[in-house]
Amino acid sequence: MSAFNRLPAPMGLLIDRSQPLSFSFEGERYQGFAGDSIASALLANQRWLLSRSFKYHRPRGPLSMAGQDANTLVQLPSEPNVLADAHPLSAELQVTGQNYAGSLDNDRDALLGKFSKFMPVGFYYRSFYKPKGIWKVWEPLIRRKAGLGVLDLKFQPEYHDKAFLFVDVAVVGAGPAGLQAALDAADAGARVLLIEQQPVLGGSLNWARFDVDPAVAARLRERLVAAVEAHPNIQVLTDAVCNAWFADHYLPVIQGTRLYKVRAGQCIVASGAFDQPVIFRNNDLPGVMLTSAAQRLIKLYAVKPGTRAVLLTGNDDGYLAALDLLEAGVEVAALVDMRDAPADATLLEVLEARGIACQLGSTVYEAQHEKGMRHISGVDIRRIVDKGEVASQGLRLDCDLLCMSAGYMPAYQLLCQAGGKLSYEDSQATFSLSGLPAGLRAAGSVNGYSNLKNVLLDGAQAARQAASGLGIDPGVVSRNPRNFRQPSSSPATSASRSMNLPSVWKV
Amino acid sequence: MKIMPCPLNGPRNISEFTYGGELRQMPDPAACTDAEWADYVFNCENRAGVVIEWWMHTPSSYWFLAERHTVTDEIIRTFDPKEIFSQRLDFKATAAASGRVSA
Repeated sequence: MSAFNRLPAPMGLLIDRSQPLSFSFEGERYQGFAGDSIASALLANQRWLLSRSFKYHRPRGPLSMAGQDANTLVQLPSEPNVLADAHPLSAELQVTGQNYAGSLDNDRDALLGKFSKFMPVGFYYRSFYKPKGIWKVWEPLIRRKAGLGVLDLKFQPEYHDKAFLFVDVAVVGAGPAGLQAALDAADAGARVLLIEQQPVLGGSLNWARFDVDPAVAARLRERLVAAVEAHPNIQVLTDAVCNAWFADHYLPVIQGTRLYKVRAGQCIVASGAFDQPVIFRNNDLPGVMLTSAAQRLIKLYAVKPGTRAVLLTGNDDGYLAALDLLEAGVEVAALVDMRDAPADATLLEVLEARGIACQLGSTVYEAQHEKGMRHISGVDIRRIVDKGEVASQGLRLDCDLLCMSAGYMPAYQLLCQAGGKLSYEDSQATFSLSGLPAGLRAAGSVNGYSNLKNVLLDGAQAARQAASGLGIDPGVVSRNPRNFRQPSSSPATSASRSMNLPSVWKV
Repeated sequence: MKIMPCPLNGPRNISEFTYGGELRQMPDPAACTDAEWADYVFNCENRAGVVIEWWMHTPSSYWFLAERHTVTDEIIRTFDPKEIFSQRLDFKATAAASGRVSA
């Protein structure tokens, strides 16, 4: 494998190739670029094993590349348990692994996996208390093994400040739905705050494919982002996280060391959706990642995610991701679809024309590895013969990358915190959210839409509803300088009538 | 944070307000029984539904009434007490009260 694993431009939307940064991981020096996350810089250097699992110290590599998993926890000098795929790389950063005995690559504690049969959940609370007093002997040993990173006891807290923002509509997430919603609400005359976690606008338009023609998403992204950035009614906060929703649309938004206390009249959450992993043996090893993670690596960081890939999918987007991998110079050994056929049959022809073998109605039964389990070396593909059952014989393929995407899980965290209920519909294999507070809306893929056209329509509809919630006629452009529009009190609910109170009160 | 629309000061954060209890009719202290008076002083209805409550905007010491749903915590409307307390009442010192003062 080459020591440096970058794809040529225009891949690498987030990285600045003119600014190389040098950093260290586990005492070894590596090179990355400004804009890299710690994980992407390490992967560009073919450093795949990033952490060890909590209990059995199994090797772990990147899974989501979006800060959504615990596979990339690393130790910084003054901060333990840092998500390496979300933490930006800085010059001379000293990164180490955590939770191992010996070295990250040769963890002596990985032996514990051999005894997993004898260590059920919470077993030490029952096993090490007898005879009386023996806990005092065991406790220091168990305490030493527990926990992940190490705290810096000399840590000096830094200064964090706060600011207040008052807007008509707050839009969380600047993907296609969020951009469209922000534009439409701003066009209707509302003052809009657009909050995006990533450093650039665009969300999934930055890395997902959406069409056989890669220019479709790129063109749409360019058009939407340019319109949003030029709009006088839209304020954009990038690298900012909306941490919660409180009553009457009070949003704590964290950007760097500043906390914005945002008060909005209406709220639209377009937080997107994440691939769901597939369950099979060894699905946690380095080399197994979500399809979206591989696409993020290619498009955002210009990192080639592997040399020979197998895609395991339960949706049509996996077919498009196969094209992405192919164009990034990754050999695609096979595409395994858990369904009997893709929804769009032309995709099969497109892939077969490019020489990718498609295994329909099959799944990955097991990921195989060499001694030491440091990376996958192949997969065992089996036909699905019945619900929850696979054939006894399968096809073995060599690969160093397995991309998986079973379905989509809405990024529901903010909406559930706000009071929404998540439910699953088995017939449609989709999640849906219900019971959101008044004035708070979900839009786009978090609302269950995956087709790009429907996502944009849903964003536009959320903007229309928000505008009418504010009392703006979406057809008429007006500028209202007031921060809040009070719900007009209806004269029908006059207190004295509805409560049947006497008209004169004695005091 | 919740917003309370104050009839005098407009919409403000709920942290600026003080709760003053349910709006209830006070029995005539001179005429009512001890049981009625004790009920007025010590018991409250605590209804699940739409209630009218006293609230005060603390920085301006302005008391007003709010119609609120106690289950959903929705503030339906707020209004100045003069909507209900529309007549001036003059008090004459009763014999019992003046007797206590002089004692």
